[in-house]
Amino acid sequence: MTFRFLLRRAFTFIVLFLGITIISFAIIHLAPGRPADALTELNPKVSLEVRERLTRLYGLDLPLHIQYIRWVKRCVRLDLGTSFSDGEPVLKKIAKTLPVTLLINTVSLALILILGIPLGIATALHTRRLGARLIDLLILVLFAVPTYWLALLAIDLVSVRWRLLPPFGLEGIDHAALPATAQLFDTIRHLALPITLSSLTGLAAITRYVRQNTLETLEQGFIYACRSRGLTSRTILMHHVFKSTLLPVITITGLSLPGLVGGSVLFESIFGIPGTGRLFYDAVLMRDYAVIMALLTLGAFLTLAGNGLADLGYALADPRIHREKS
Amino acid sequence: MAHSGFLTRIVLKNRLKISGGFFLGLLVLGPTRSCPAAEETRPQQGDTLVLTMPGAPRTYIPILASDTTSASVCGFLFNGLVKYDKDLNITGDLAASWDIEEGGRVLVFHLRRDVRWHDGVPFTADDVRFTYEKLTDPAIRTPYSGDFTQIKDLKALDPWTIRVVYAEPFAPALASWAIGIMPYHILKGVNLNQGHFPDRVIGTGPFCLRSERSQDIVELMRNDDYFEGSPFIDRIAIRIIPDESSVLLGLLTYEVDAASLTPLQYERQTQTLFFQKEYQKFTSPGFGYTYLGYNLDDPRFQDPRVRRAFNLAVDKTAVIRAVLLGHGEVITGPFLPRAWAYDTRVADPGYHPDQARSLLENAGWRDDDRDGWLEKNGREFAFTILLNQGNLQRRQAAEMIQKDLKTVGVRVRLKVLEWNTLLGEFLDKGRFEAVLLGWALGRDPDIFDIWHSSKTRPGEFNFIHFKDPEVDRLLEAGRRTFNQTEREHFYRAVHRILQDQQPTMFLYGTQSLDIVSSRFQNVSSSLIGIGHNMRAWWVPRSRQRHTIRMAP
Repeated sequence: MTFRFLLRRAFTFIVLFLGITIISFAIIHLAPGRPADALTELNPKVSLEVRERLTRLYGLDLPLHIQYIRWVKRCVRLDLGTSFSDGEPVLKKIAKTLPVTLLINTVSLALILILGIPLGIATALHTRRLGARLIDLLILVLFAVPTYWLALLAIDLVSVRWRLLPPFGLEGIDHAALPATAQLFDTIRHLALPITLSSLTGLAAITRYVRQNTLETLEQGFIYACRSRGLTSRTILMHHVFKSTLLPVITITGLSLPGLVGGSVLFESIFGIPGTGRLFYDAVLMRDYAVIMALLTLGAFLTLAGNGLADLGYALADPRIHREKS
Repeated sequence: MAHSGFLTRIVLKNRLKISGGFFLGLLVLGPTRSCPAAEETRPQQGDTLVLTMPGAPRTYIPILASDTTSASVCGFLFNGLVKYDKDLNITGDLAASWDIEEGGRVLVFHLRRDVRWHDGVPFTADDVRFTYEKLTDPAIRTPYSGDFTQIKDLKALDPWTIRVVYAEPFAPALASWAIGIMPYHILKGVNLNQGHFPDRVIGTGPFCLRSERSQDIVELMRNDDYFEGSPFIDRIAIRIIPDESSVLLGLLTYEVDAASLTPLQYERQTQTLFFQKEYQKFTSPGFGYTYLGYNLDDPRFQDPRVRRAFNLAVDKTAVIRAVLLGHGEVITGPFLPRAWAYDTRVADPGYHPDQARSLLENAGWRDDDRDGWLEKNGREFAFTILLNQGNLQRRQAAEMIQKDLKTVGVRVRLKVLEWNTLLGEFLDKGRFEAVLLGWALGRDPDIFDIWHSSKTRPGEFNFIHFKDPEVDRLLEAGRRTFNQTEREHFYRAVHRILQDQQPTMFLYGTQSLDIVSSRFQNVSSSLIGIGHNMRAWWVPRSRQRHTIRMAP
């Protein structure tokens, strides 16, 4: 049964994955415009020949399905091609931007889970207390307010008015000349604002999910059964409630897997962070097909993988789930 | 335009500069505020200048550098054979002198013998020959090959003499040699298309690249061995900041020392006491102009009276005041107002909607049905202006044109398109009625590619399909002689014809607005921008901010 479950998942995975790449490939190539240096002002010194040469060099004059097959063949060999804009291998480009985005998003995700779950349970257990209500309200506000706006406010307060933290960038100008501990401190100072702000929305979301779920679980019949068996509140909480509150956490964590590598364009622009969000955005503007496809493929893969892992996690946390399905 | 919306700052703002050493780009009329008196008057070494650019350099190969950042950074790292001096005259850079022979068909460059690459290897004619070979190699993705394909033969007569033979006299040739010369001993056998030096970047310029340490900061160190004398500033650090409002934050938090500002930032957001104390600001005319181009295959625009009427109907001064907050100037022709080719005697006819209306009436456009819109043979005069996304200033200018033309009875619609779409699907294919765009111009007045009737194939730059035999003849003559007086004569004649014919409505030339921390001394204006003497910028020791010594 479990084996069939896995097999079916794997099959869907492959079909979906191929489908996504075909659709992405078709859409970006059929969209009007073509790769070129993006210029707002035309400069006559960039001649027509250059544009035609670019087209030939990258085989953009071939029929679309042949271009796609060529792309798949290269991908199988793990060759994602080279960027149109500067000739750099796409893998290298992604490797340069990914660590930053990954670092920020992983730390944020960790913060979200570490703070969000206890906070959610706590607010669920103490719904009548003023503190819990205030936290609840605050979380609702955080969830609703656009992060970029909060980010701008935070920069204005923390960086401009109080001069506590740098407003953007990953490191200070003198970073390279600092001793190792000072370098670490410099990096932390630069990442403090972006990480805090990118955690806020996620924190609000997970706290609300956990809170809601805990409240629902607490009203279930088996909790009364536990109580009547004389179990302590602590045991009930740790052994029975906690496990079921994990479900939404698993879903959200699984679904945020692609989010780990896909940086937010707006966010990375505001904080001047050279991450994958900015790479993707620039690539789209320049019609840098190789980079766009590589990032879309990576995103598709991780989305599907995240979904798959979430399903598996569910199956492990709640055996009813795959029994119902299979 | 020089200053534009958020989108544009990231990648679209991307103009070509075939030039060495021009910081932030542009020419300067004068500082709006003078430097504070320094306690120490003798220039001192040290400190770091922190600049910002909207994107990371895509390449350090000068012949591939087509985006603003790459071109600017290459300007610090490399030299051409020639350069423009602060008065916009061509002078020697790596070439000490040159001879123009056989009526301009042959250029002989005598190279400086005291130049060494950043790794200590002497610079010779081999490097020039190598750069030329790469420029004309069809496999290399350089946008600068155009001027060099005119070369018939290039020979090194000895290690310090280069003889370049052109198929016919070609005036823009001399200026084209401002292209950065690349080191043969490092790059031979390297595939330049991958855009990077095999190990570290080796140039001849006043600064050398320290490291490509991240996508975040590009660091340039002083070249102590620079042939014209090393700079005073130890280091230039370029912060990549795509968002223009973040640039302002950088200035406010001392994270950034110098930047280009938008008119709004210049006029409204940097007027506080803080900025007056900490920064000096500079205004400079830019190297581009904005225009409204008509599709001259459209029968309505084939009548010059209609085009002249439109020119009279639009209040350009009002556009400059509202959109650029005054930081621009009305232009009357296809050259930059500071260029010698620009005929200053050609006057703008001014804003005269009444004359415009009667001209349109002469051309047969009347409001017979009294609905406020003009008609001819029962057809209303309505057309669409295309413009590109992400350029707020152009959008606002278009709206003002729309309003002005409405008052003379012409209905204008605006359509904003993504840049590549605008170019590929509409301009190249001739599917447009009018378009609001800008031209970025080089320092040589050769505008053959924009106005010659042979340049109307899809993808070429005469997409408005302007055809005038007299202009063709003048443009051909203008690139065949090196004599500036003769060229001036030809180009000013072109200027007069274009003002009379109005194939496009010349709107305004933009300005470049720069801000520099007031601790930098000796920052001054010139016709090529505030970067003309960057080697002479210095900071009094008491005000130096970055005193940590860096290993090169």
